[in-house]
Amino acid sequence: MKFRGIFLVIAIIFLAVQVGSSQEINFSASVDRTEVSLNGQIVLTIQVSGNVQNIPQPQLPALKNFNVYASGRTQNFSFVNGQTSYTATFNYILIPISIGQLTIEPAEITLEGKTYKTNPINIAVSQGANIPPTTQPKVKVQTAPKTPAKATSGADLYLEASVDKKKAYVNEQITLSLRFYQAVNTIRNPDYTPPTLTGFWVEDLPPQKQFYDTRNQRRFAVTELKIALFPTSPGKKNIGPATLKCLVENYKTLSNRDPFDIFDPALLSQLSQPEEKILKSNLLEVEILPLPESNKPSNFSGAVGRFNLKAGLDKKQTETNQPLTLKVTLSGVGNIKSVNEPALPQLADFRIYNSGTSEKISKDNYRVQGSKTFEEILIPRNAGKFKLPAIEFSYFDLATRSYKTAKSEPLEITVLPGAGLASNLPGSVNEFGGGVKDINYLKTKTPKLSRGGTVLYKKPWFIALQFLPLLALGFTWRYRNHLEKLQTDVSYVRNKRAAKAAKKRLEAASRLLAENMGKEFYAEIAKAITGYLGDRLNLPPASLSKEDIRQELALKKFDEQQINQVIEILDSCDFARFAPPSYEKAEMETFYQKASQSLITLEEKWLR
Amino acid sequence: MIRTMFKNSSLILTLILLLIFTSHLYGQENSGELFQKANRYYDTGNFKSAIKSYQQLLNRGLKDAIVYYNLGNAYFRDKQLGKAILYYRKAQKLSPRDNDIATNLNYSRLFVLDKITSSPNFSSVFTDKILNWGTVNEFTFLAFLLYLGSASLGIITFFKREKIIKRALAVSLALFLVMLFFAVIKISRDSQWQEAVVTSSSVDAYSGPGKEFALQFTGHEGLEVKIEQNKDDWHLVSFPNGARGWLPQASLDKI
Repeated sequence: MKFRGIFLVIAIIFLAVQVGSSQEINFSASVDRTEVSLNGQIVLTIQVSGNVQNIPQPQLPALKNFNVYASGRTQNFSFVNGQTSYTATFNYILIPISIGQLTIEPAEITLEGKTYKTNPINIAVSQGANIPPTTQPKVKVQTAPKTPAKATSGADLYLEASVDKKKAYVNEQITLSLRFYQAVNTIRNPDYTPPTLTGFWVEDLPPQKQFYDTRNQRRFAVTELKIALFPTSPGKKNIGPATLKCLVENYKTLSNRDPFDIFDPALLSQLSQPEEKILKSNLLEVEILPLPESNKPSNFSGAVGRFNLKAGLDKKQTETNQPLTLKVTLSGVGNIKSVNEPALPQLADFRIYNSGTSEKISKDNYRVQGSKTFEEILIPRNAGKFKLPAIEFSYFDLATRSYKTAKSEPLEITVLPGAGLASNLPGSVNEFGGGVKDINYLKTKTPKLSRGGTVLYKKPWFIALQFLPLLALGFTWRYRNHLEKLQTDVSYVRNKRAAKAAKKRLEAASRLLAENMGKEFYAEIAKAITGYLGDRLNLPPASLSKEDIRQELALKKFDEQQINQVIEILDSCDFARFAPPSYEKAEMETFYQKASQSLITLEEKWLR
Repeated sequence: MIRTMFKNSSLILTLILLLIFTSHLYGQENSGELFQKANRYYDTGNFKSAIKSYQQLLNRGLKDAIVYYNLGNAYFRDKQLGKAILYYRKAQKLSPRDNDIATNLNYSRLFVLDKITSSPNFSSVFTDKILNWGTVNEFTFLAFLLYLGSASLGIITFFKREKIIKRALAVSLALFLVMLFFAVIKISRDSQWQEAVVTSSSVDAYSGPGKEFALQFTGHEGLEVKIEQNKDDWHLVSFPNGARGWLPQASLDKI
């Protein structure tokens, strides 16, 4: 029962929140004026009201034509007729930076998933009569005047910039002083933005000075800040305004108000909120002179001021490959941080390593000065007595307006021959060359001096040579196979021997022809042909009948005419052998020609 | 008397002048004599003339390791470190196992301003050692010899089927394949990995082929680099420690 009550209460609360959150939200923007002069200021007020909690910062549009400064937020909470209502007011100060008809685009806010937009506002920015900026008493931004005496009329706070010289050489120190005059107390520390200093090397000069000054019968507390500027290039340069943002107790506005306005909520919020002021210092212009070109030393690297150079060694005597430390210290008045290392003389007998740079800067009397030390490690290569020539550093002396050269004392080093290698050093001596003191002498033997043109593998004869072993391999392989067949294959042997045997028989026949032995001649011819065919066909010659020959040759695709010719020769032989012995020599000769021709054509066909 | 002496000496002078003149005219100066003359220039400390004479020999197409080596020495004495290293490298390419060349090359490397610590892995050191042992021709010739040997052993196996010969053939074939492999790698390296030496006193390496790109680092005379890519008058090179950058062509000389 008790629990139920609690649930009920919770449910009602949720319901209320739900109802509340669905309520309308009011989101609006307004400005205090729609016409303003350049460097004047507009207060943009953005108000969000409705039954919402945790109102986020609204999102401002990109305001390219204005410098925007957020100046705080006030919140109001009211509970009227059981309805809660929040009002949040956001103030921004806009300072136009260009003239013309400008538009403040709608600002946006997202609440519970919904996006609300304000209405755009048009602003007319006029050129105004205040360039360079002068004080605008009505406007909350106060700019320091050129002549401080005029400016102080009425202003409680202002920022003043001054330089110690209007003309300076490149890299000569210019001291910029920023003075913050205040006749009223500020709440919290002012928010300081340094001036834009393009074209200068900037060095802060602490400490801040605080003192009192009386101007126009008013006593001002003055905070002075100094900055050293080293111009980097010649020409006219602007030193931009520094900005100071501070909160001041606002009592004046209250006294100027209509007493009936006391219930004005805006006024009430102003009471609770101190007024914010943005102070800008005056613009300054300086002229930077280029350094004279005449008599400019070749090793001049841009240093301006007055410098001294000292060089020292950690020891006067060492061994070869044992390191020495050379310290070159440059000290003086000037922009010591930007000074380059003075060039060391060429030392062929030493290996030189830069091992580091250290600097000590002091800012006594608001002058940048100090010393910079360059450390070099020297490793002697050779033994002997060496003289380290004076190291030179050129600078432009401001007192005499001329170039001067600082020189160090020359140093002497004795290097004894040593065996050890400086192996523990960074980038130590190559071990291989440790014992070598110089390059080896020339080769005096006259070389052959031939035109060694292309490489071996591109030479045609070398490429051709690659085929020789392959060919040799191929031939020997075939020869080996031939030998093998001779031993194992009878038909192969007979086949190989056929032509040779036939040739022998023909020779014998020609001898018989010469001796006029007709019968034997024909018998020999017949043997030559049957023997040849027997060898080729791997058949015994004795059993080789004419029918067999015809068949076998036909199988081997000999043409009819050739087969007939062979048979005809064999027939003639048989006939002559068994016919009466009347042999005519001329006939035998033509027959011999015919038979040998026939054998040649047979052999030709076989070999094809 | 004095007059005749003067006459004689002037005659000799004109003769010498004529000799010099004609020898220049015909370019007939013997290459061996030119070489000796260059050596004499070197001995008398006239390194610039020595360089000129050695270069003349090279211009005649007589590219020899000894000429390269002597030229390297002359450049070293003339304090042109980059050129000295360049010609020692050229000499070493032709005669890789020469001690004098290796000594002088390593010694002159000590004067290079940039210290590069390379940490190559073992395998590349091993192959580099083998490949740096010989020239392309030596590798080619060795491979050819092993090829010949394998072929002859093969022929012998046709007739004598003994185990020893078969084993010898297997070994020789394997060696041949290995040597062929190295020869091919050596050839492809020589044709692809164009190496160069920085010969201008200092050179800026950019991130791209042009001065409009970001400057990455500065190198000095005598650095040995590998050319990986070319564009217009710029080379993308890699240094022994793996650093890479584009250098203008004019600052390099190819080995």
